[in-house]
Amino acid sequence: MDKLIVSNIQKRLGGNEVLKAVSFELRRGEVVALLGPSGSGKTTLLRLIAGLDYPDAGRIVLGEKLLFDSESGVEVPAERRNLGLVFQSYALWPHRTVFDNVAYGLRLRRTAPSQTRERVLSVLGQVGLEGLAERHPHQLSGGQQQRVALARAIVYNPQLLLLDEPLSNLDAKLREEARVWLREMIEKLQISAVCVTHDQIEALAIADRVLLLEKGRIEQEGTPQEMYENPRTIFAAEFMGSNNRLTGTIAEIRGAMAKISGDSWELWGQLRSDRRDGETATAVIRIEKTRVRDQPAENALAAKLETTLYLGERWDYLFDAGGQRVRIWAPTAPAQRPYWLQFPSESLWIF
Amino acid sequence: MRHAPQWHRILAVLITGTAVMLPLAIIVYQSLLDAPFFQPSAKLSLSAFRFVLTDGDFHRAFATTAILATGMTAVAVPLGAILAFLLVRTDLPGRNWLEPVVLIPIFLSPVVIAFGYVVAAGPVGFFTLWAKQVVGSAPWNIYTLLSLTLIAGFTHIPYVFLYTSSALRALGADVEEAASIAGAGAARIALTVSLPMVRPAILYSAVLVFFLGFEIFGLALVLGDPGGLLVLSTYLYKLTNRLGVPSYQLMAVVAVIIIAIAFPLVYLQRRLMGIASRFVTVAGKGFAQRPLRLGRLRWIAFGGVLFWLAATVLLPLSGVFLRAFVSAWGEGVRLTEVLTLENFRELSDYPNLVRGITNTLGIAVIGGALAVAWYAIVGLATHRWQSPWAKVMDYLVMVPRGMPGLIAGLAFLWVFLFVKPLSPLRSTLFSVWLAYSVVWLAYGMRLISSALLQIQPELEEAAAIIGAPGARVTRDVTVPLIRFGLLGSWLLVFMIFVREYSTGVYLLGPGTEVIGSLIVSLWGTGAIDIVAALSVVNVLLVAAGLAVALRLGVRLHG
Repeated sequence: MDKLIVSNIQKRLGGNEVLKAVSFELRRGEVVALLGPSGSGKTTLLRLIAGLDYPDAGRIVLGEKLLFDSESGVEVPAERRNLGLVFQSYALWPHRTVFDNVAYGLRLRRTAPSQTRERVLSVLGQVGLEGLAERHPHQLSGGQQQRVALARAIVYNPQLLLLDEPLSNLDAKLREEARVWLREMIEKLQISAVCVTHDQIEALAIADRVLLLEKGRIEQEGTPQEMYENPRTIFAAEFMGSNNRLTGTIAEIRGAMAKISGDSWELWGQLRSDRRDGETATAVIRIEKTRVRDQPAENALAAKLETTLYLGERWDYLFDAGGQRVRIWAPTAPAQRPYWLQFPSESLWIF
Repeated sequence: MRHAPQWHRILAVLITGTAVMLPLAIIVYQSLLDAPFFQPSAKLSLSAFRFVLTDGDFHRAFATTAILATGMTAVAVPLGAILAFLLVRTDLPGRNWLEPVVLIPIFLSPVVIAFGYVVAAGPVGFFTLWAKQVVGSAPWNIYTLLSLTLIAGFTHIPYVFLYTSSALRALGADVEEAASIAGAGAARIALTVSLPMVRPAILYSAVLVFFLGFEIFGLALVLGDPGGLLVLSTYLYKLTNRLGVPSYQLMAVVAVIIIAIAFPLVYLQRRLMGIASRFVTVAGKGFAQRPLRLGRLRWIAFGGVLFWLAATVLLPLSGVFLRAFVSAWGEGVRLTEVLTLENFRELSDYPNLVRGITNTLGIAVIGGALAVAWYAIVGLATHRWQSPWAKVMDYLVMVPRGMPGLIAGLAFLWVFLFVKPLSPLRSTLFSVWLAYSVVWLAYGMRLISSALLQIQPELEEAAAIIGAPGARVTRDVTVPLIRFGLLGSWLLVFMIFVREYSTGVYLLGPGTEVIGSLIVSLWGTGAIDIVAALSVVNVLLVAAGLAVALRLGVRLHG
């Protein structure tokens, strides 16, 4: 497994600038998630790394090998990059058995038949598909198909594993199990991997590092924890987690703190942008950081309970606080009493 | 997208381009000469255009063709659309077995159908004489423009059915259920919801039928001649002998005029196809569609469909089969006294007829396979190829569609005469095969590309990522995945090649006989017995192909 260096990648598709000078590095044995909404360019970036398409400009290096360089005109096609890719649709060949699907990469590499057999069966064992080698893909469940796709991609020890929305084709229950399983597999195999996903939970769970893409640029990158607890832009803050947002104007700035105020309310929070006094701003706070109080408290607003939703493991309360809608999660049914909502200033980000 | 030059792909485009453009070029060139191109004295001139455009027969043929094309469109489009609605959306009795049956006219040779009408319902046809015994005089005359138009309209209903029915299938049942809940009956739903929603497909098939009307040859040759009716293609065919000397330049002019009318129509169809595919919006939810109840109309509609099938398939075919098993027929002849197998025995007396049958089989089975291989190579060469060359190929494929078989055959005859290195091949089956394959290029390419379209790109990309170079991806993934599509295409091309008659007409000679062109030329000599026997052989070959195709579950359209 080698280091991947992607620098200054630019790509236009049909007049749209899909990627605008994207750069990142992937260290040995690391798993990076390319996270972003649809249209952010994440899948395009993965296809460029895979060699299924070529950038308009930039450079891609894997270990010692130059894969693409617009300046020197190097374009290594996909089949000579020695990568593994798990497709969103799995793309298993319907006319081949599980064994033949997985063995294809070894046959292309002219591995001896006895060795091929041994290796394929051992990988199928690793992904938990013993005894299914002679089935055809349509005889397998979605979860099993996904395992075949992974086995096919890793059987020939690729230098880098690429995963395109690997869990999106599974239903919700299965996805949770597969997430755990995939993380375990990657750790056990000690491979470097790039994983494209639009699901922040998937990114947080699987990756060592997350790259958040938006409109063809990297918005922010960091460990899952940094990304969740310390977003640097409003996009990063709102893309991750479930949030409350309040809009108002900056009333006062004191060092790293700022006061945001609306018609009948004011709150202190962390200033995270270059907004100045008097400018309109948005305050964002994770729902789970918002607290309910039964009496006035520091950095809190009086609120009227509008409606509640019962969601099984918790209750969802919806409040009107000074004309702004605020949600909180609570373990118990609502009571008839006055409410105050507290927004701890260290968790309230003002952009 | 690959940036490296793709020579094998470009080569496929160039070879196909030559095969397509050379005949067209030679027709245009010949039309601008004042004598056949092989005469040293031939000069560039517009005299041939002047001759044709001032010829009264040409004017009449043009007008007749326009009336015929318009009339048959007016007949085929509404009936075809209704037929599609009945079969796809309602509880019409027998809708399952009717589905393949209504497509039969597409696979029958028009010249066989026309011949069938003559012997079944002509002035001394079986049914005419039987009707005469009942009512006293012949109740119909099939040699008028009106009957020609009706017959042409009836035989082209399946084309309208084909496009309308597939559009109707793409329509969600919910739009009809909504009308049904609101209180509309089946007929009202058809006229106010379903058919209006598939308007682009109906419009497309209308243009197609009108276009086919301009190319009509076999029906007009057999049914138009006795009444002195000429259409453009039969006018062209008669020109051959009109001046006593080869009048290539005049034939070329008529060909150019037909092509000039056909091209805009082909282009229009292409544009409409784009619109039609954009129109497929309400792709049905996976619900099982409950057919609309026709109520009392059910049996009336069923009767209508049966009447159409009887008039279009049963009547002419029964005529052909009866005529093939009698030694003579006319007024006062009793059927039981003239029954014989002699006509079929007679076929074996003529080596050219035997050759015609074996050649037809060879060109349909082996030639069909080679044609499908060619179409597949071109299809694979342009598959997922983002290059201006692929666009060029797209347009090249359209060119033969604008050339009716009769003209394409003529053009290939000239190509083989004009291009000296090819001359030795003129009297071999290769010339016929090449002409057939080019004439049906667009049809074949559509079959291939619809098979290729069903492959998800990821299946091929997955092989590339794993390390398979382009040729291995084609061999290991693409071709295995379209195997069934290729088999189906082979069967369809087999039937089309057995059916084909006009393309071989000008290429007919010792060694290049095929059943279709033999029927056309023997019809001119009045050898009814042999024409009937050959027609039966032709129909049986098509039926065999059809049976295998249905058995294997091949879709009868691309």
